[in-house]
Amino acid sequence: MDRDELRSAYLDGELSVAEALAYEKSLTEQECSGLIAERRFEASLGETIRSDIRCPDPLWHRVKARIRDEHRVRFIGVGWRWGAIGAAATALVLISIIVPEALRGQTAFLEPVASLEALRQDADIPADLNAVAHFLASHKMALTLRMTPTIRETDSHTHQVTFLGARERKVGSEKVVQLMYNCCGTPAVVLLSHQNTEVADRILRASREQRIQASRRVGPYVVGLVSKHHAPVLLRLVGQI
Amino acid sequence: MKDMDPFLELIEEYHDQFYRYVYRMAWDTGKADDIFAEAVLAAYQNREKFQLGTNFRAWMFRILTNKCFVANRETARAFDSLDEKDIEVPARGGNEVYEAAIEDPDAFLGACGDEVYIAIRALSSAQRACLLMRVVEGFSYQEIANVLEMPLGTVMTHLARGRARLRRELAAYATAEGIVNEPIRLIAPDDENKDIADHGS
Repeated sequence: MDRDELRSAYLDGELSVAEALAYEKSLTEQECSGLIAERRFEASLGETIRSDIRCPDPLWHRVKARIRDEHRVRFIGVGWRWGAIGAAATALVLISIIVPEALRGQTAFLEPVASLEALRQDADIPADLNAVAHFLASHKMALTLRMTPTIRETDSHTHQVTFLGARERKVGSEKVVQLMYNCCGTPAVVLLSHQNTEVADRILRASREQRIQASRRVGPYVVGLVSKHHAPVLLRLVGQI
Repeated sequence: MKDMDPFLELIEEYHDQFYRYVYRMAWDTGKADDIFAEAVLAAYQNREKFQLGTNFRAWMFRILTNKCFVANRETARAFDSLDEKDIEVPARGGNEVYEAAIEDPDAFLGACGDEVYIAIRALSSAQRACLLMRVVEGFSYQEIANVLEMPLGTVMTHLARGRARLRRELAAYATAEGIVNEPIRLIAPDDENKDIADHGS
């Protein structure tokens, strides 16, 4: 720190007590009075500059107006952003509910039924051959249904089969006919559809992807088996008239 | 001002100080208006960066100073070392005349009129910023160092040089205008060089 910096720092009260005392000791009487004069002068100078100019009102009003505009734009921006986020969230919720629901509506018929009881309760047509024949005819399906209490899958396994009834379910704009069985104590559903339909395609695709047990073509129809129990032979119970 | 948000209220409280500083740094009404508006808007847009409980004035002065220096096409690097003007100016000079002149500070300021401002304007930007912040706005050395992002020693040097230059200019004016009659004491070049010290490192 040179002499001028010491003087400057002393004037500003930025020296430590020890430094200030040492500096004061080094001052001549003239320098001391000069310092006092300079301190008074700077105080007057500071006061003069502080009071001689202020921000013009029109400028301040303009700046405030710009800040308010900025704030409003940001607020609107924030509002819009939150609105967009809200809309997106709502859309996501709707998509996550409606789309899967819609998809589920179109794929639920390919999923195994949880219990035999549920299967029984959902039967629209009783386990009656005539009623079922009539039901299939109403769907323009020239199919016959063979009733049998047992059916042999392989040389080593014979399935115990009980027909529980039939029903129709909507899949999109189409319908699928379902024949419901108790196969070895496990719910099993045989799907019937006209070929070259969306439902037929879904059945065949699901079979290829092994999401259902099996499928086959029966004349102009496609049949598929949905069950947790492996019994593709059930599809042999359906025959073309 | 109930309709204003707290940050704007804070700016409003000090806006005259801010404008005064910008005006004395830019020395041009049109430029000062633009710098002030730009700095206040920048501060408002970055208000999330201001930490409540910290020195709002210092935070604002940093923005104002940066805007002033950008507007004056001076970079922050200019603060890091003493510019050539500093070296040309004797650190001491005309003290006796000056001290005689400022015996009655108010009378001297009245006699100088705009000459005081011309002398302040003649300072380097760094000296002017340091002097305005210290003498007019009352910042401590450390606050100035923080605002200008420079070492404390450099602030001290800028202040000392700025004051010396101001003394010299005003003493010359006082002599020329017959406010005081004592001649300015000349300083030998060797003495001048002794005053140039590196405090920035």
